[in-house]
Amino acid sequence: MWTRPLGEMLTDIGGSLLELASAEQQIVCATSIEMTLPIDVKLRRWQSALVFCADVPAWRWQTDWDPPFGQLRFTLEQARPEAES
Amino acid sequence: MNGSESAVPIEDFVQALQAQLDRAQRAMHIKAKNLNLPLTFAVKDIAIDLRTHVEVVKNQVRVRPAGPGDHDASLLHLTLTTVTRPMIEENAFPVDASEERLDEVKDIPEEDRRKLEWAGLQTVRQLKELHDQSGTATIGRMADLPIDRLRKALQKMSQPMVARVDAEPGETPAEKLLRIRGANLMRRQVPKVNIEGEPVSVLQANDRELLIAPKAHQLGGVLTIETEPEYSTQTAFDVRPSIGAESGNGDKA
Repeated sequence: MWTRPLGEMLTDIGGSLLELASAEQQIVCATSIEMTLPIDVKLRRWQSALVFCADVPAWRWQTDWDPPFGQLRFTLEQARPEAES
Repeated sequence: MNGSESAVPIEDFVQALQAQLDRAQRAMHIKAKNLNLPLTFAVKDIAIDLRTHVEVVKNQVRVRPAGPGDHDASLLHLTLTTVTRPMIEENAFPVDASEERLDEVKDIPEEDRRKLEWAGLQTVRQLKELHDQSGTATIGRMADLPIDRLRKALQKMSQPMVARVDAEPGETPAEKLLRIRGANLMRRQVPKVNIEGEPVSVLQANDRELLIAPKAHQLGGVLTIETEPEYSTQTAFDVRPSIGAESGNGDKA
């Protein structure tokens, strides 16, 4: 399975949570989300640049020929788009 | 990670990770704007645990991903957090883009340069300043470098060098001044300047420029600049007026 660059995986996760962040009118809304995931990490060279690829493992069970999984912990916090830069 | 991949310098590794985080921040920002959402999520903190082998090759720390069944690998734990623009500016190292960087100096081997960078020295000016303040022995101890090698490299870097000699306008040869441009033209005190062995008055002096007042017969010859004992340079120059131009003023020189 193709391991995506870490940025793509984070964008997918963050993108799927966008509705939670935008629910300004709700009484209860998530302001931050913390996740811990196992990750399969690969370093690739693309046009001489090093690309950090990390994705959730393709299979639930790890085999002997799989490299050891890493662990990714991250916190996503509510923010205004204009405050990004 | 795949064990067949070769080791990469740890700074490249961290930069590759940072690049992905920046990319994710930008993508989420654009996504929220495109969907016209008032709020989005931004990555605040991130921590990664990875099984890797850590190697030191020529003073460079390299990480090599652990392969399948590689149970003796080290655990690399990285924690990153977001920083704001003021935080970046506050912690950025002020380096003038025109300053000569240590990696541009041929006299310093790469291994020594890396040690100096670890000690926080990135430019020739910083190295010279620290040398003037603390001496070679201190830098040698800080960067774990042999003092003799460092002293030789510093001496080479600090030697005065003349790039050009120009005559400043003056009505007569006796009123003419010479502007000397180059590098390392002044150290702790005003340099000794002579032309053909005869001393010349120095009117202005800084690291890159000297203004001297030669006598009328000193507008050509060998110029010697000595900033300190063992720090000197010699350059032949000639800014005497050409014969055609001279004939108008008579043979005053």
